[in-house]
Amino acid sequence: MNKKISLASLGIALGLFASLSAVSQAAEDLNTLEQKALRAAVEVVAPSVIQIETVGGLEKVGDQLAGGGPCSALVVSADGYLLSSSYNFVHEPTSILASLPDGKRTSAKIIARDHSRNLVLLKINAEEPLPVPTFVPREELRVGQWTIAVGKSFSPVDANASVGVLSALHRVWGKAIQSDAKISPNNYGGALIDIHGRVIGVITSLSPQATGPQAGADWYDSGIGFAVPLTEMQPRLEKLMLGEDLRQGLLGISLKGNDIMADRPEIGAVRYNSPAQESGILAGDVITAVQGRQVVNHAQMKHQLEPLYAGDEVALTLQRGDDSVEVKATLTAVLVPYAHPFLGILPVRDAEGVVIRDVLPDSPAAAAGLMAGDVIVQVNDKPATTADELRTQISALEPDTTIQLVYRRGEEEQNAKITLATLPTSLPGELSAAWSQEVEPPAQPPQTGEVEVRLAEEPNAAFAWIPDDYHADRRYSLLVLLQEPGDVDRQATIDAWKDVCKQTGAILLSVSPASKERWTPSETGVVRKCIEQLAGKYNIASGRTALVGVRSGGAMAYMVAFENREAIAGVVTLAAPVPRGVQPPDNDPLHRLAIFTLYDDMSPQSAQLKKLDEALAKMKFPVVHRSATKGADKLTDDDRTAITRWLDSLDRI
Amino acid sequence: MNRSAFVIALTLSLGWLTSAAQAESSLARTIRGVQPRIVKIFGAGGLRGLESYQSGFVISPEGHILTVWSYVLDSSVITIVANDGRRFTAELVGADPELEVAVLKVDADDLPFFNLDESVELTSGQRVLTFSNLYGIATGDEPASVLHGYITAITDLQGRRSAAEVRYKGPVYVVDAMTNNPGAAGGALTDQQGQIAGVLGKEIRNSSNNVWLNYSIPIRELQNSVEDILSGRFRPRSRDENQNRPKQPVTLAQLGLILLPDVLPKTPPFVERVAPESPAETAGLQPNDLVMFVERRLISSQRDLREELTFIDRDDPVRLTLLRGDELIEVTLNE
Repeated sequence: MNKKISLASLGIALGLFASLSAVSQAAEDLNTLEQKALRAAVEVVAPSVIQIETVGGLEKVGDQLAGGGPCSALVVSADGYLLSSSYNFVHEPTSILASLPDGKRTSAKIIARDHSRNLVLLKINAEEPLPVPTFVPREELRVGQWTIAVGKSFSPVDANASVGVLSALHRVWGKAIQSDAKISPNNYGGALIDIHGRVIGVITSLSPQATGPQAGADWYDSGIGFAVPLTEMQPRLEKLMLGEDLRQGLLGISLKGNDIMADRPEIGAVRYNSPAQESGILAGDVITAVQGRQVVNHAQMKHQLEPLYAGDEVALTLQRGDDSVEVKATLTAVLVPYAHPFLGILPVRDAEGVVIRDVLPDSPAAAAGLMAGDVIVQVNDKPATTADELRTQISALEPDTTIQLVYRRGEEEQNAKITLATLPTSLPGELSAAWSQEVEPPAQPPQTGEVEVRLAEEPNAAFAWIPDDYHADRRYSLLVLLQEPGDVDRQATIDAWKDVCKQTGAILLSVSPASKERWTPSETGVVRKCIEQLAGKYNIASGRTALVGVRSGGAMAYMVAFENREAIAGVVTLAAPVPRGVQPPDNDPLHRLAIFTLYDDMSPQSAQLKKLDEALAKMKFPVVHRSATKGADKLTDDDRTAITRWLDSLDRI
Repeated sequence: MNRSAFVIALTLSLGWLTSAAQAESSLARTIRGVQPRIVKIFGAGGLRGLESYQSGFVISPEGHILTVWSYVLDSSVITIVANDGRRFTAELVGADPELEVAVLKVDADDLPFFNLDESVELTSGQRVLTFSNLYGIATGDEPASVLHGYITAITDLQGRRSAAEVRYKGPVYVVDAMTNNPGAAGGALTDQQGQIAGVLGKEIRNSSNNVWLNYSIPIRELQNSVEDILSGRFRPRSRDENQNRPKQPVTLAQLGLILLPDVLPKTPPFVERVAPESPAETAGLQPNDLVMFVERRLISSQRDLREELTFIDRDDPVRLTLLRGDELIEVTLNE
C-alpha cells in the first residue's frame, strides 16, 4: 500500500517536473495552452452547430440588404430540432437547407418562432441522431469568464469562432447573456460556449430598446452581442415543437412616472379586459414583488416581467394603502387595444377644482346638458379635485360605461348619469378662453419673441418663438415644427404662426435636420433634447405638446412621437406616412397621443395614407383628418388655425 | 504524503506565476520586434470619406515595402513614415492589380524587415496580432496600433461570382480583430511570435451576408507575385473567369426546363413544366421541383441558375440537386 502511494506520488512529481520544465522552456506556453483549450472547446461543440442555407426570399428587408448567405443553427434535440436566430430568416426564404456534419444536405422547415427572444425552431430530417451539446445553467456563469462565439457561416464542416469574455449576465431585461466576442450574422444562430465547450446560449440579435427580428443587428461586431441562455429555453421547447409560437407575456398596466430607475412601480392605470384587471389589480397599487422577488423601481419590475411569455402565470405582491395584497395573473400575448374614454369637456386651466371651459359638441357631456362654467364636484362618489386627477380617473374606465356625476351650476348641485364615449375624431370649432383670470405682468419678464435653441453637442439648427404676453404662471401648449431639410426662412415661419399661436396660448419651436438631405432616425433624440431645453426655461404642458411635419418632417414626427410618449401628445403630418419598419406603439391610458393628418384626398398617395389613418384608428388612436388642397406641400393659414385649435383642445376629458 | 502534496502545490503555483509573467513579457518583446518593420503610408485621397493614408511593412534590406494597391498610391508623391519617425518619399516599384498588392521602395538600407521566405501559415483558432495605422492615429515616430485577435476562419474570399468588389477570390484569414477600418489595409498579420503571416486587406463586405469582413491575405498567396515585381518580370496574370466560360454554354431551353415566370429579384427556380423528350424529362424532373444546386454550388434564384449554366458547355453533363417535397434528389441531365 505504502509503496503504491509513493510510486503514484513519484509519477505525479515526474509528470509535474516534465510540465514545469516545458512551461519554463518557452515563455509563450501559457498563451499556447490557452489557445489549445479554446480550440478544444470549439471542437467539442462544432458538430452541434449546423450550417443553414436559404433559397429565395426578399432581396431587401426594410432599408437593409437581406443577407441570405450561409448561417448557423444549434442542435437542441437528437431527433432533428435546431434553434436559430430569427435574423437569419427575415427575408422569408422559400426553402431552407441544412448541411449535416457528415457532409449530407437535408431540407429544413421552420416549426415555430419565439418572438420575444428572436429565435426560430427548425426541424430537419436526420437519419442519424444529432449530437446534442451540453448546456451550462445560468447560475454557474460568471462575468469575466471565457466565452467563444461559434458559427458555421464560412464552412459546413469547420466552425468559425471568435473569442471574448462574458460581459453581463442579465441583459435585455434578463432575456440574454452579453459577451464581447464578435457577434454578427457570421454566428447568429450559433452557440456561445464556455472554455469546456458547453453551450451558454444560442446567439441572436436583440436590443433592450427595440423589438423585431432585426433589432440589435446594427450592433454586430461592436463588442456587444447577446445569447439566449438555453437552460431557460428547454422547458419551452416542447411548446415550440408543437408548432406554437412564443410571445412576450403582457399584463396590461401603465406605471406612473418616467424615470425607470427612480420611480417606484405604482400603477397609473389598468387596461380593461387585461390580465391585470382580471386579477384585481387597481390603479394606485404599488408593485412590491414579482414572483417573490422584491422590486423597488420600474426597471427592476421590467427585469422580472419582460422575460415571461404569454400563458405564464405571474405572482405579484401589491401594496394597497397599508395592506399587502397577493394576486396572480395569467399573461396574454395581445391586449385589447385601449381606447380613451371621453366625457366631452375642456377644463379651465387656472381654476380651483374642475371648472368647465367648454362643452364639446356631440359629446356625452353635451347630451347630458352640461354647460361652460359648471363645476364638476364628484364622479362615481370620488371628489373631483383637479382636472388632471379627473382625467386619470376617467381613463381607467371603459368607453360605454355610465358614470354618476355631480356638478355645481351657480349655487345649485345637480346629478347626471353620463355614458362615456371615445375621444373625438373631428376638429373642434372656436374655443373659449382657457384662462379665467388676469395675471399681473411679471417684474422681470422673460425673453419673448424669437429665441435661439442650440444643443452644445448637436449641429441641428433650432429656434423658438414665445408669445409676447407669455407669463410663467401659465402652462403653454408647444408646437414643434420638424422642418424639411434645407434652409428655413425664420421670419416667414414666425409670421405665419405667431397670431394663431398667441391666440391659443402656444409656444413655437422649429428644429431642422443636421443634414441638408434628410432626417436620420438617430435625430429623434435631438428633437427630444430641444424640447427639454425649452421646457427648462418656459412653462410647457407635455399633454399639449404636438409635432408638425411636412413629408419627411412628418415621417420624423411619427418616429419622435412613438419613441417619446410621455413628452408628446400629438402629431400633425402633411402628406407623410409612418416610415417603413416603424411600428406604432400600443395606445396607452396615461400617455395620450392624438393624430392629425392632412393630405390631398385626390392625390395618388391618398389611398395609402388613408389606409394608414385607418390602421392607427384601429389601434384606437384618435385620428382626425383634414383634406389638403390639391398638390399641397405647404400648410395654409386655415390649416394653421385648425392645428392650433386642435392642440388647444388636447387637455380634453 | 501531506507534505509532498504541499510541495507540489507550491511548485505548481510558482510555475504558473512565472510563466504568466513571462508570457506577458514575451508578447511585449514580440511587439517591440515587429513595430520597427511597420510603416505609415500617405498619398492621395482626403476627399469625401476617402482617407489619404494606409499601412505597409518593410520586406527587404534595400527598403522595399509591401502594401495594398489602392487609390492612396495613385499620387505623384507617396510619403512613408518609418517607425522611428523618419520620412521618405517612396517610388512605386510595381503592383499586382489582381491580388491588389503593391511594392514601394524607399532610399533606406537600415530598416528592419520581414523576410517573406520565413512567413508562417496559420490555422483557425490561432492567436494573432495585427499591426497597422488604422484611423491614421499614429503620426511621426508613434508606433502603429496593435490589435489582438484570433483566426476565426480560413475561407475563400468569394461571395457570389458576379460580385465585382474584389478580384482576389483565394483563401483568406478571417480574424476577430476589427481590422476592417480606414488605414488598416496593408498592415501586417503575425502570429504570437511576431512571424509574418499575412497582409491586412481592404475594407469590404462579405457579399454573402453583407457584413464587414476583417481579413488578411496569406503571404504564400502573394509571394510569387511580389518576387516577380521585385525582379522586374511581373506580368499581370489573367484571372478572368470569362476564360473558363465555354463558347457555347448549355441553356434552360436546351435542357427542356421551363421555370416559373421570373418576376422577383430572387425568384426561386421552381420547375413549371418539363418539355417532352428533353434531357430534363429523361432525367425525371417534375413540375414543382426546386433546383437547389448546380454541381456543388447553391442556387438561390433563377438569375443564379442562368448565370451558373453559362459555365457549363452545351455538350457536358449537368448535375442538379432538386428539392421535391422534403427530399433532396440528385439527377444528371445531358448524360
